[in-house]
Amino acid sequence: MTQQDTRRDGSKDSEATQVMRPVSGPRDAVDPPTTALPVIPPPADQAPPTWLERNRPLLDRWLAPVLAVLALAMLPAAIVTTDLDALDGWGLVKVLGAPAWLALLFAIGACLCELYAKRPRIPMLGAATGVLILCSTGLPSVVEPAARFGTAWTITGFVDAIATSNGVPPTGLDARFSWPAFFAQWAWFREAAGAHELDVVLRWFPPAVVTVWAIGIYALARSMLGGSRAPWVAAWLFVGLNWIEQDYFSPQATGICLLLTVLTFALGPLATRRTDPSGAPGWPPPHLGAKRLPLWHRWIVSAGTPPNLPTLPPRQLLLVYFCAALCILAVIPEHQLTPFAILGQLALLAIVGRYRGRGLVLVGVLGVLLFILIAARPIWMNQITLFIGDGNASAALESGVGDRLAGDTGQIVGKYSRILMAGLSYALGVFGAFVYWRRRRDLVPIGLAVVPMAFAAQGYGGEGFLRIVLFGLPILTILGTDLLRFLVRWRSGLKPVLAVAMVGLYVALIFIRGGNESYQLVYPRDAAMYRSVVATTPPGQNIMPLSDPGPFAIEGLTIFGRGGGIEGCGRIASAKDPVACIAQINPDVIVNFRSIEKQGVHLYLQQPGWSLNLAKTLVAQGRYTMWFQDPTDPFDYVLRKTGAPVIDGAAQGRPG
Amino acid sequence: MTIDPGFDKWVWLGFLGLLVVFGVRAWVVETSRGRLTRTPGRVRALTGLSVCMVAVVCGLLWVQGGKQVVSSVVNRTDPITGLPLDKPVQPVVAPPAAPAAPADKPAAPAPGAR
Repeated sequence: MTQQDTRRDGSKDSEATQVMRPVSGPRDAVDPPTTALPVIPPPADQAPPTWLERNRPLLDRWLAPVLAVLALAMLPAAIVTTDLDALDGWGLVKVLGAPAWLALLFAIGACLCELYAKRPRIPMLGAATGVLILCSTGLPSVVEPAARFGTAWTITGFVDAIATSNGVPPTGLDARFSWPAFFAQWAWFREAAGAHELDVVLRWFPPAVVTVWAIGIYALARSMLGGSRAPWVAAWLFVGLNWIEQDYFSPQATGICLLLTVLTFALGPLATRRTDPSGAPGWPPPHLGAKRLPLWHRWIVSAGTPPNLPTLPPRQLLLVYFCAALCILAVIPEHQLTPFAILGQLALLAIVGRYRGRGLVLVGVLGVLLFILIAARPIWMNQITLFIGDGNASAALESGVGDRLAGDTGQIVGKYSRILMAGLSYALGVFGAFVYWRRRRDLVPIGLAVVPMAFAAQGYGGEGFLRIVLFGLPILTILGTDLLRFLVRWRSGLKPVLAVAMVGLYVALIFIRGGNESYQLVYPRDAAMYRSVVATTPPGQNIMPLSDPGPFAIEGLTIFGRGGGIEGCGRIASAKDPVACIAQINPDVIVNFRSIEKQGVHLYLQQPGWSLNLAKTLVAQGRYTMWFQDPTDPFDYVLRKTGAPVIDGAAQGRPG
Repeated sequence: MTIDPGFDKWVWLGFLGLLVVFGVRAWVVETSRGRLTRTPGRVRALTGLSVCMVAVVCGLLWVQGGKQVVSSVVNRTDPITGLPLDKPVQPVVAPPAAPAAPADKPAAPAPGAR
């Protein structure tokens, strides 16, 4: 069709508006001017918009940021109003001030406001999630003066041991040195940064690593659930259900990051289905109305159908293969359990044809075998039961769960709450799997969550049974989110109920995670005291704490003995006859912290002041002298064997 | 069976070679996708090479400790001593010493001795 210039004749003004119209005669008067639906006038008696409706754009824009800033503003007040000296068996939940709870409420409010906004903003949701993590998982890092959890401090001792021995892991000290990648990695970071200690890293590691995990959950949920809101809910649900406390400065924390990366690759860019190109699983029915094929027939057809190809270009696919293989190979020397979780889940996905690149399983299996048989040879030669267990799953369950149900009332309630929370995770996952199956006819995800349960029979340590929940938790929370989404779509009135449930979940999280805070709390003065002991003790002496908590063995791991090895005297705090145990172990130096005193009182039901009384007894016997006692905290003390040599710490410098 | 730690480097090199072959095969497979075509000959050759490398690495692993571990796991025995793990080892008790022979009668004092 040609067009004509509609500028008025004689007008040479090039700036004049030019309207182009078809060259045709006048429009037929019979034709309707438009086929659009007629505008329906609003009914005259319509109620005026409410205040909320009128101000919805403003609220959507500003409410979430304001609440997030308010949550952050509450944190300094939370530090001031939390009385850490009043910690008892109920843990952190009892001593937190009102500002800490307000910070949590504001953070949850920021998340929910942005979630319910008409157009949720991804940067705002990300920022609100970060604030939520800081106000829940990261609350101990905020209100406590140093990193909590004695094991985290012990791991800095491992890092120190590798750093001071020029990257060579010591042998014969601890089985964890057979998987030294995490320690070597941080020793390298420490040396490269010119730092002598990792105290600050330790303190802020939990919220930082949980943030990375939440990003992984978000990416995984985007692949599995789709949508713009559900992946964020999955991340929040994961953070809320993550009571397992494996996010301290530890190899398994990094291992979970790598596990989530590999799973995200497998279920995201590498994902495939055994379907025909139209998306129908199996063969289509031979004719309309034909009887459906029997189930076994459909299974055989499905197994025989090659998986379809991912849509990525080949070079991107190769890059993803490379990164996934790198993550698998990196986690093998890092942690003893995580590679098995990854490979179990990848093997399941490979069997059902859910991702391209099944060779990754082979690379991982051979890598694990190679590392265990060659690099970890001393471990399987001397401690083969670490790998094969004792074949008694009920004993593993008993040691992992049953034996931990000890302590005063607060401790017992906290530990039963952990079991309830684990049950809630699995219940959400199972019901969510049903919803997921109805929507996508797919039961593989629940299999992914169940595969790590095989670790239940593994005899490594007492925490194996607790850790395996963490390996399945990402998938369980994503399935649980599918259930919550179904509920909200079914009954939109459930939104406020779920918002209240979120508040309840996070309060429970702070209660459970902070339940042991009375004896996981560490003060900077504890670490300084231990470092002074290391600086003044001649190499070769035995330095022994009265129990696990506190910053013990953070330096000088390879040059001091730790005593022990006496039946029934593993922890002096829980021994029946502490004086006799000390006489048998005969340490040169005894170290005690306030956290050890609190552990004895709240977990082992000792009389308050038991550790001081023990020190007085040992001093009265003349076997030990009180070398140091903190003037502000009498439970922080160091006993030295009478007559044992002490060297000048200033002259010696750093040990090792 | 004694494990020679000096032989470990060949296992590491074998695994490295396996990774290289897998990488090359992945490159060839992904960059030469075709519709309704037979698997290219070079892909089949690389698949065969991959299988060979897997067999080599598995064989090396079997020699360098795999056999010992499998035997220990199957029989639940200690890898070094070969003693069963489930049964406590009875401490070796020295056999009771044979009763001492009766002392000889004291020799008769030499004549002239007091």
